[in-house]
Amino acid sequence: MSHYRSSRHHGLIALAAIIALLPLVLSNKYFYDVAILIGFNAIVCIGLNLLIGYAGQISLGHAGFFGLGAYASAILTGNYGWPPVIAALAGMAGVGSLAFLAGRPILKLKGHYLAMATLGLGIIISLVIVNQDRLTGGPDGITVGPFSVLGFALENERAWYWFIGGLLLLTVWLSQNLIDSPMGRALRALHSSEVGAQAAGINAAAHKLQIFVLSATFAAGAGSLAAHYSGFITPAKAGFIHSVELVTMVVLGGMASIYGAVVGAAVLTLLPQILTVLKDYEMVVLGAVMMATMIFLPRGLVPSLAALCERWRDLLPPSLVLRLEALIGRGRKP
Amino acid sequence: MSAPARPPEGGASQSPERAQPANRTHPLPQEGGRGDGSSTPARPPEGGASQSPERAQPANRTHPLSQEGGRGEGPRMTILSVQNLSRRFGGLTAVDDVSLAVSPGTVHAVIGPNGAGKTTLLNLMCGIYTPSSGSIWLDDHDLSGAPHYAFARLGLGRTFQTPQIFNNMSALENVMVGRYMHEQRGLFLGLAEALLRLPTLRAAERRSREEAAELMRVVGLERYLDAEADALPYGALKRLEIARALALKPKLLLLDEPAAGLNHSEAVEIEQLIGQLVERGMTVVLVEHNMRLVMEVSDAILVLDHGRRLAEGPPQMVREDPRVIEAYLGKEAAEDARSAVAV
Ligand SMILES: Nc1ncnc2c1ncn2[C@@H]1O[C@H](COP(=O)(O)OP(=O)(O)O)[C@@H](O)[C@H]1O
Ligand SMILES: [Mg+2]
Repeated sequence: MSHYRSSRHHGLIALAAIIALLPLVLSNKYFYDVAILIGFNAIVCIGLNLLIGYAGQISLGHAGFFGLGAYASAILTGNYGWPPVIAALAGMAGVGSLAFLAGRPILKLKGHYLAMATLGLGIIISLVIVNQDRLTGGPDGITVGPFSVLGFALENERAWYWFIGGLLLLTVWLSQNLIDSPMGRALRALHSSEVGAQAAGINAAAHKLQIFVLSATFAAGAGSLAAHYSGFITPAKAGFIHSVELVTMVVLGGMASIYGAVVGAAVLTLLPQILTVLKDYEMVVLGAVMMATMIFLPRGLVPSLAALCERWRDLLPPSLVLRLEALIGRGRKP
Repeated sequence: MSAPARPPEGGASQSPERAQPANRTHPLPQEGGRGDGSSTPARPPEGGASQSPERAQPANRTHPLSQEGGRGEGPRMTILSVQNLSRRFGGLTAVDDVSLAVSPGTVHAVIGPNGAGKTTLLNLMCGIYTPSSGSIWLDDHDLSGAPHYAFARLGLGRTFQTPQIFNNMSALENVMVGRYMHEQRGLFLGLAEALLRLPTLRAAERRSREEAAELMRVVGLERYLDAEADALPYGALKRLEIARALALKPKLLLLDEPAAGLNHSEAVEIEQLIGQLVERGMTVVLVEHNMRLVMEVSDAILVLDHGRRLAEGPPQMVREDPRVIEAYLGKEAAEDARSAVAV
């Protein structure tokens, strides 16, 4: 297990290094913009993967929570003059409460039925946003003021980049801590065998609800910040398509993998940008890439590639492996 | 009396336990309590104990044990008691009016042909199924209708006929899950502690890891201390489940066919393990087809057939009961056996 813990720190250090070094190649505003988008998506996907990948409960309505967080910030700062941080926290608390109330009946359902119910919840949220146009601006959307923390405003891409980078690291750290705790084991246990988990005294319903609320709160927080960052929010951000995009990122990156969520968010945010050169064929190629990934790496990018590395490692001469491991500072328990 | 919902039907009322704190007295009439089919709370207690004030309370549930005639063992403590339990699935009555009283420190076996209702009985006794009728008491808690996890939290550990292993974690973590309720700090404090990985949690995790490793050694799985759960062979999974159940620090273990699918030497190891546990004071309810194992470790055997109680008693008695032989071997074999005895 010390192996697990040390590899956990290595992962965090590697992610921090990537975040720190990336600005060397981010040569213009557009690149920064893409990197920041990846950060937002990664934060939502980590939360969603806690629910889907670890606890085994699907949500097809997570964009609804993201959208509610975004609109809460827009309305509370714009109409009521609340400080952005307070508005974001209030939005998270409100969305958490909503997830708690809605989750109690919904999470009794399993599999496809749970998917349908969360889908319905997401659709209701986006309809309410569209229809409450006096408050939300309706289908046209609403402008959102800049974000500031303790009087320090995030004015340019660079500032946002470091802020979101730090927040992403924090999210990864918190989530990994959770997974490797009694509570995280309870979640993984009820995913694998709900009967077995209950036999160990685990109240499965309470834990499902708890992780649903936590996951919705992550999405709401990311939504608040994303609204401030882009300065504009439309109901599409709360809609079904966005929900599906988020789930796709989680599945492509790898279920039950924190870094899988980050990688999935990065790949599916980047690919469409890169594929724009293909014009009309963009979506076809994107779909083909996703299908190929799931066929050849069925557990998702990170878990499948990690398994491949393990296998290759066994094929290499042990002396070379030892030297390589010494190089990257990682030992494996015998 | 401090125990609010305790039924007054104290067959043990004249025993010394009466004088002890309320939670020592068991709700059930013990083996000596003769079932007369009446469920009226006003039935005078055997032994003429003083009428306790609770007797008048309508909330008290009383169920005279339906077993005919005691075996004259006098009153004794019961850790688990099941009264007139039935469970129907559509038209099928999988468990039909079964009663059972398990004394602490004993092994109580439940045997019967396939489909007799043994697993269903265990599932009722740990809250996986809710009874169609009847009640279940663990110590002096009425748990009829309580959720599965509530039984576990009151000290009931169980293993499954088909092992319910958590394949998405290591073998050691599987056992650590069994320590859940000893680590649990409430959903909010627990969440904060977990997210921030506070020093208190780190210390608790270290202790959990050590205790789980110790339990893996107890059940003979030290080879798999570093293994992922899905890498374990079938026989090891059965023992991993026992280790996880022991991590609850249970008062009572329900084992559903712990030796099924094991070879002879593995079955002997399970037998020895059960023996060790009982030596340390564990109470076990054992469902098992391996008769050698059952006869070896059991203090009492309940035989089920088509959901009903066919016979109950100590191993020798059950072994020679013609009804049991008939249920297992068919009528002719039973007659053969009878005539063989007659000759
Ligand atoms: N969940 C269920 N739904 C319907 N029938 C069930 C269910 N569980 C058990 N049964 C039925 O109850 C009977 C007893 O089953 P079981 O308790 O598994 O027997 P045993 O463990 O003694 O082999 C069987 O006829 C079985 O088909
Ligand atoms: Mg069975």
